[in-house]
Amino acid sequence: MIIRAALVAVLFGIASSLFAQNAPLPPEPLPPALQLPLQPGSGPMIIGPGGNITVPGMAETEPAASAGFEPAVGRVGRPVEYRVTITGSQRPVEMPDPPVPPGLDVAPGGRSIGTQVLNGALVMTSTYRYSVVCTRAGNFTMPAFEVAIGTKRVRVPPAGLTVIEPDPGEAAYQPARVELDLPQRDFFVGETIGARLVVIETPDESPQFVAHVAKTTGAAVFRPSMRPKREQITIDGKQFNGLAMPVQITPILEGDAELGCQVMVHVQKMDPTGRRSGFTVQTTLDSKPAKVRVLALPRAGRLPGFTGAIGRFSVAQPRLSAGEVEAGEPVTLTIAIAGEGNLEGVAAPEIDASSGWQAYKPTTEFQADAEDPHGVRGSKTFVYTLVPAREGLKSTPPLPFCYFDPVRRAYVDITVPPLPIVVKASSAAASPTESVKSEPPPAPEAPRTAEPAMTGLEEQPGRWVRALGPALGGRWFLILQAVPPALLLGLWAWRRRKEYLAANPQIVRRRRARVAARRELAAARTAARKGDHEGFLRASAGALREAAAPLDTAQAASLTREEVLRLLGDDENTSALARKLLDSADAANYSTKAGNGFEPAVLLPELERAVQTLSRRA
Amino acid sequence: MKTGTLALCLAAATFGAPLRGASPAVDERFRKANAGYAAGDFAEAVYDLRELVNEGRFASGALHNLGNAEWKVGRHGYAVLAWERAHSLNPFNRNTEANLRFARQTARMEAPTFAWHERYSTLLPGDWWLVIACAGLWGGVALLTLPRLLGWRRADWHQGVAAALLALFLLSGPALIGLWKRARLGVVLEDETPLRLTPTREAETLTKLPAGEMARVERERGEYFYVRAEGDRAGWLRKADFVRVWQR
Repeated sequence: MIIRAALVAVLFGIASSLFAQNAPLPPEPLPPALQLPLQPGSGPMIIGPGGNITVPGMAETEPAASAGFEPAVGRVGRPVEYRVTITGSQRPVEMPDPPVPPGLDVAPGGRSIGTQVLNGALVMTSTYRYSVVCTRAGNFTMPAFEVAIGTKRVRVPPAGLTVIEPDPGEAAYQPARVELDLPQRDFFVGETIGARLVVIETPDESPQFVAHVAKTTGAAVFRPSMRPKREQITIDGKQFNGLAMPVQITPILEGDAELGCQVMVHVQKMDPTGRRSGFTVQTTLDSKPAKVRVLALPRAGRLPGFTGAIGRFSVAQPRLSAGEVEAGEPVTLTIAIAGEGNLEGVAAPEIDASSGWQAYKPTTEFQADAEDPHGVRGSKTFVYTLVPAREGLKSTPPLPFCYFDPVRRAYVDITVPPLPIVVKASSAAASPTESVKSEPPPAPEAPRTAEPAMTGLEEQPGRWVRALGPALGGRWFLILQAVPPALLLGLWAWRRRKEYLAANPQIVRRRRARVAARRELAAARTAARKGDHEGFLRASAGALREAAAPLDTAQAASLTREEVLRLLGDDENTSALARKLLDSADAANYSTKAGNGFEPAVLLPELERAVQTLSRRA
Repeated sequence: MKTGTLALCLAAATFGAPLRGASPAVDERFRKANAGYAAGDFAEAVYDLRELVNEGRFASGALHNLGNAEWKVGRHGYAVLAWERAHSLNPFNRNTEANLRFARQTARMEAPTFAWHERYSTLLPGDWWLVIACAGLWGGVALLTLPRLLGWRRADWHQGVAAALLALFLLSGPALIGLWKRARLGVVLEDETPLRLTPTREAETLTKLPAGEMARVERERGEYFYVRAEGDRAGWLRKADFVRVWQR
C-alpha cells in the first residue's frame, strides 16, 4: 500500500514538473521521504549528448579532479589500479589519456559515473580506472595533466606509487589464458567440429565475459556461440575454473594447420590476497595454436547419394502422405535425418528422375538439438513432393543417401528404401483427349549401365619400341628432317651445273685437257724415274699436246709441232724445250737411234714448267 | 617409282630407330610375366614387366598387362601410368581404354580434358602421325620439284598426288600440335600426394592429389614440377611423385 502510494506520488511529481513552465501551479506538498533530491523550481532534468546531465535552474559546480593508486604500494609485475576521479556539473567526453612515466605500463580499464546533489548543486563523479603494471622497483610519480571538460580544463594532480620487489618464492603474475579444446583426431575438409573455447581463470585474473572472438587462420571457419558458461574445466587431468564457450569449427583447407583464435575478454584483477580487487579490464588473449591435420575426403569408396554430409547420421522411418494415389496426383514423402555433423548445410539427396516419379525440389528444415551446447547435433527434415508418372507403380523410388564418418574414415550408406504405394489410373482419363493432354508420357526405363571392370591380359606384347612418345622434337628427328631438303638442294645444284656446262663446252674441254695433261705428266715422271727415254719422250709430247689442246679446237693427238710451238708464243726457253722434245718424240717414233741425246730427269722440271705455261694460257 | 623408293628410304631413315624389333628372349619374358599373372603371382608379373620397361622396351600389350598387374598389387597410380602408355602406343586397343575407364570410375576421378586437337591426335599412334606428316610434306615437295630437277616429262598425276600428299600434311598439322601438348601429361603415382604452394619441402599444401590423377607439367624447378590438374588445381609436385606418360 505504501509502495503504491509512493509510486503515484512520484509519477505525479514528475508530471507536475514537466508542466511546471506552462502551468506554474503550486506543487502539492509531498511527504519528505518521497521528495526528489532536486530542489523545487529546478525544472526538468535533461540528459544531453555524452551523458552530461543538466538541470535548468540548478547551480553549476566547478570541475575538480583527484588521482591516486590503489594500492599505493605495488609489486613488480603485478597490476595496480590508477584511478582518476573528476567531479563537476559536466564530465569529460573522452577517457583522459595520462602521461606515463618510464617503467610503467598503463592500460585503460573502464569508467563509472555517479550523480548526486550537494548543497543545491548537481555534482557528477566520473571515475576512470587504469591498470598499471610496473616493470621495475622504485618510486614512480604519475605527472599532473589537464583534462578538458566542456569549455573548461581541470588539472589532475600527480599521484605517487611505490613499487617493491616481490617476496622471495612469490609466484609471477599469471594472466588468464585461452585454449581451444578440440577432439584428438584428424579432421576432414567440410566437417563440422564441436569444440570449446576455454578462458582459464588464474590466481591473478578472473575472466568475466567474452566480448569478441576472431580467428587467426584462414584454414577454417569459426562459429562461436557467444554464450560462455562458467564451469569447472578439466585439461590434461587438471581442474581449472573459467569460461567455456562452445564453438563450431569447419576446416576449409586440407593439410596441416594451426587453429587458433584471438579473444577479447573482460577480466577482473585479483589482489595479492586472492580476492577480487573490483576493477575489471578488457584484454585481448591469443589461444595456444592447436595443430591439426585436415584431410580431403577420400575419393575411393564414395557412394551414390553423397551430398557432403560428414558426421554420424541416421534416417528415421520415412513417411508418405498417402498409401494410394492416382497417376499424376502428388504425394509428399517426409524424410528426417538426425545425428551429429554438418547436417545444417547438407543438400537434399536427389531422386532419380527416370524412376517413373517426378520429384520437385524438397523443402528442408533444420532443427538444432537444444541440449547440445556445440550446436552440431540436430535433425533435418526433407519434404519431397512426388508425382507418379503412370499407374501401376508399386513403390516410391529409393533415395540414395550416404555420409562420411570421420571417425571410421569411411562412407556409410543410409539409402532410404522404397515405400510401398499403390498408383491407380487417373480418374481424369475418362475423357481420352484430356487424358492425352494431362497424362505425362511414361518415363523411359533407365538404361542399365554396366559397371566397369578390368579387362584381361593381352596375349601378344605388340610391336616393341624404344621410345614411348613420338619422336617429335627429338634430335635425330630434326637431323633427319634436314636430309630431304638437303637432297633436293643437291639435285637442284647438280641440275644448274649441268645446264651451265652444256652452255659452256670450253670449260669441259679445258678440264679434260688438264686432266689428260696431268696424266701424261705423271707418266713422264714415271718414265724419267725408270730411265725410260722413249716412254719419257712419248709422255712429254702427249702432255704438251694435251695442255695445248684447249687453245685450239683440234683434238690433242692431232696437234702438230708447229701448232704447239705457236701456242707457246715468245717464251724461248720453253719453246726450245718443246721443240726438242717433240722432235725427239717424232724421231723416236720414226727412227731407232733417236732419243738418247738427253737426260729425262734433267728435262722433267722444264717439261713441267712448259705444261704449266700452256695450261695457264688455256 | 623412283619417288616412291625415295620416300620409303626417307621414312625408314626417319623412323628406323623406334621400329627396331626385339629379340625372342624379350617375348619369352613377356610370356613368363603373363604366366605369373595367370598363376596369381601379380608381384612377380609386375617385376618381370617393369624390368622390360626399365630396359627401355615398350610394347602396348606389355604395358597393358603391366597396368593390370600393378592394379592387382594396389599400386593404382602406376597402373594408370602403364595403361596410359599402352593407350598412347596403341589407341585402337579397347581393353586398355576400358581399364582406364575402370580405374577412373573406381577412384571417382575425372578423365583429363583434352582440347580438340589433342583428341584428334589420339585417333592414331603418335608415330603414325609423324610418318603421315613427313611423307605428306616431303613426298609432295618431291613430286613438285623432282620432275623439273631430273628432267622428267611432266604428268598430271604428279600434281594430283603432290596435292593429295600436301593435304595429308596439312591434316596432320593439328595432330602434331596435339602430340606436342600431350607430351606434358603425367600421372600422380602415390595417393594423397601433396600439391604445394612453392617448390620447397616445407611449403604449404594446397590440396592432395589421388594416385592416378593426370596433370600437365607447366614448368619445372629443381626437384619439383609445376602441374595443373583438372579443375585448375595447380601447384608444385615432387618429381618423384609424378611421371610423364611419355617420359624423356
